[in-house]
Parts: sequence; C-alpha cells; structure tokens
Amino acid sequence: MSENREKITYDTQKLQEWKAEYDKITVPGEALERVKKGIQMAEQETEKEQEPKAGKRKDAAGADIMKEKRNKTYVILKRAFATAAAILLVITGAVNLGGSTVAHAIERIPVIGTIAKVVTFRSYEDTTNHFEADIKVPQIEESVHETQNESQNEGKQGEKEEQELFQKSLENTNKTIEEYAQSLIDMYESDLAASNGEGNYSLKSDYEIVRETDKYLVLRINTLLVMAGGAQSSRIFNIDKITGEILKLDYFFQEDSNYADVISDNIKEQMLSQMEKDENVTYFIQSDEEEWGFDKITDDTQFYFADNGDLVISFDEYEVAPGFMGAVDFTIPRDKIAGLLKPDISVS
Amino acid sequence: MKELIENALLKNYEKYYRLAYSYVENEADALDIVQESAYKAMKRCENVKEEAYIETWLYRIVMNTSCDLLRRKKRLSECTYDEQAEPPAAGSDIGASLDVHNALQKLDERERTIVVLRYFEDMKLEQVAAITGENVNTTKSRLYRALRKLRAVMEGEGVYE
Repeated sequence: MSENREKITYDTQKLQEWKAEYDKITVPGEALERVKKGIQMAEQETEKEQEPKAGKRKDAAGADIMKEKRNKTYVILKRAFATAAAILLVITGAVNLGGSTVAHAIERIPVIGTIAKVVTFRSYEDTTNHFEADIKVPQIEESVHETQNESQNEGKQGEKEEQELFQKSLENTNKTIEEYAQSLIDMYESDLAASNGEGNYSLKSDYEIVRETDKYLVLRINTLLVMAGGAQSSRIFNIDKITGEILKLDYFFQEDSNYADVISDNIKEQMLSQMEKDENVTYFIQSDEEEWGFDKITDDTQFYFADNGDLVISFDEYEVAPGFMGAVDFTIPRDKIAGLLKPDISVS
Repeated sequence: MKELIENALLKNYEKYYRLAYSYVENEADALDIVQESAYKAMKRCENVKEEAYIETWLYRIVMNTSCDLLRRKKRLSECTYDEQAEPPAAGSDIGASLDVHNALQKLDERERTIVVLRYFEDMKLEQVAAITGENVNTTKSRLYRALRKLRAVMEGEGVYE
C-alpha cells in the first residue's frame, strides 16, 4: 500500500519534470506564419469559390449574412455538378468528355490530392466457341493538380511530399483493383482452356460509382458469371479521395466498439424477419445444424455508406443464401451504428 | 464563429505545434501539421456550433492531422517495418534528445495523446476524452496503461540516459 503511494508520488514528480521539458519544446518563429498561411489558404479558396457567383449576382451588396447563405447553396450545387460529371465520365468511358467546363468543375473541389476521374483502363473481350468474356478494368486517375494557389507554391516541400505519398497510395489502390479484375480474366482463361471448346460460359464484369462525396469514392465492380446457372458477385472499393487509400470497414468504427457484432446481429435479425414474412426467402445462418452459414462480418465484408448514413452490407451470391436469392444487400439503419462510428469521421 | 476560430488558432498555435511535435518529433513535419490544421479548421468552421467547443475541436484536428501524417509515413516505409517507424532525426532537433521524448516514444499514438493532453496541457479527463472521441472510461484505462508503460521507463531510467 505505502509502496504504491510512493510510486504514485514518484510518477507525479517525473511527470512534472516531463511537463517542464514539454513546455520547453521550442516553437519556431515560423509556426505562427504557417498558421497564418493555412488560414489564408482557406480564405483564398473560399473566395475563389465565390468568384463566379459574385460576377453573376450584381445585387450581392446585400447583408453579409445573406451573402454567406447564398454562397453555401452555390457550393452545394457545384459539388452536385461535379459528382454528376464524374459519373458521366464513367458511363461513357471518355476521358475528355465535356471539355474544359467539366474538368474545371471537378478540379475545383477543394481537396489536397484529388481523385477526379474513374476511367476504363482497359477492356478484356473474348469470344471463343460458346465462351465469352467482357471485363472492364477501371482505374482511378488523379486530377491534374491545378495551380490552385500559385502564390503558395514556393517552398512547399511538405505539400510535395504529401503529393508523392498520395500518388503512391493511389498506385496501390489501382493495383488492388487491377489485381481483382485480372483474377477474373485469369479465371475465364483457365476455364476456357479446361473446356475443350465445349459448354456455354459468359463472364461479364463492369463497374459503377456507387457514391461520391468530397472525401470518399465508392467504386463497385459487378460481375456476372453464367454457366449452367449464374453467379453474381461484386467487389466494392471504398476509396479515400484525400489519401488515395482503400478503406476497410474498421477504418470507420471505433477500435473498442463491438461494431462487427452489432452489424452482424442486425443482419441476422433482418434475415430471420424476412424469412418469417416470406417462405420463399432463405438465408443461411450459422447454427449447430448449419455450421457454414453466416455468422459475423469481417473486415473484408463488402460495404458502403449510403447518402443518408445508412450502412449497406453486400454479399455475393451463395455467400449467405442459396443461389436463387442472388447477391444480397442488407441496409443497417444509421441509428444502429451511430454511436460506434469514429466521431471525427463523417460518412456522408 | 469563423473569427473566433481564427483567433483561437493565432492565440494557441504554440500548443498545437507542441502537440504536433510530440507525434512527429521533427520541426518540418510539425510545421506542416500546424499549417494543414489551420487550413482544415478554417475550411470547416461551419461545423462548429458552439463556441465552447472550439478548443476541443481544434485539438482534435491537430491530433488527426498528425496521425494521418504518421500513418502515411509508416505506410511508405512499410518494408522497413519496425515497431517505431522512424528514429528521431539525429542532432538537429533539440527536442529529440529530451527525456520526455524517450518516454513518449514508448507509447502508441493514442496513449501519447492522452498523456500529453492530460498532464502536459493540464486538461480534465472529460476533455481529453472529448478530443480523442472515446468515452471517459476507455480514456481512463488507456491512461493507466500508458502510465504503467511510463513507469517502466522511469525505473529503467539509466538505460535511456
């Protein structure tokens, strides 16, 4: 007991000493300048966002509060436009579509490293006998880093490094996507080789942008394999537009929270209630009799967040249900997971 | 609100710098973090609804920006994966040779944040928890874990001199 107390006193003393050392960490004079620079950068960008609007609206001499309100609307509209533009690019697969207006709108989203385009990097197409494959391989392109702040470009070693890091992780992300697509192509080729020219086989894979916000890009690759029956599968990539990295489910949730249990339980509840309501619906839920049914989500579970903050969990065909159910999605209402998300991370 | 945040940034920048420094342990990165945090704060000032929350919020931005930078650095040097990603730059940084840095290096990022905020910035446990985004009990148990680790450093002090 008394030994313990001694230790605590000793701790406190040592901590006091450390605090003194901590307080003595020299703050370079540059620190204040850099804070000001950060503030200035933000302000300049905000001004830039306002410019086109100020030009159109000559009556902008109104009260400041009003002005602020209008600006907000403008920003939202602009973002919506940027998203629409990005989707358009995907659907047509054209890179330079829409000319400068579109590119301009995309590049003005104020993010440091910006993912702006998803393009079909290559298509794999083949028809041999009754075998056919059409596999689109998407890749993410970085927007041209526009000289958004010319005045700030000098001496920005830090930003340059950050840019390099961003490119590196974007490369990794693209590699992961490419590898997944390549695995589909490999599967097709080996199945074809094994077929001796017999049988019917169709493998089609395309991709879509499920969602795009300022911060996230959700890219989903949908694959349909038809042999005797069909098999639907998909792979969803949640990409952090700022770092270029692929985010797994655990990125969004607090480390100590039991999010996996909460989500899994909710899925099971939904499975049970659907089965109860409709006798044609069947899911595999793990139990003593059915040991390979669904038990718990993992960090590799496919997911994305919907615009309203609901979490969508997606399973491939056969993964949690018999084939006739196809691929299935479950929506976990946002209020079920609200308390488990990392508070500083916004999913919308 | 925007003005209040700007004022807070200009008033407390030394604190933010020190916190950033305690993560990255070199001047250049700490300066980058301070700038980036100021930028982020100004861009998102609409998110703050109450004045009382500004301080907590700013610390949180600094903490997250620091962690992001560390995370990215770690990922880059993944091939040389060692428990502490990089040794502090030799000599050039005065702080790196300090006892307190040896000690903080023994802690993971979360523990470091909690110790720094609780003891060096004299915050209440509740406020620390608000910054780290965890509940008070979790924060408390992390703090104890950190203190246990630190005690090991204290006791084996000679080794680190």
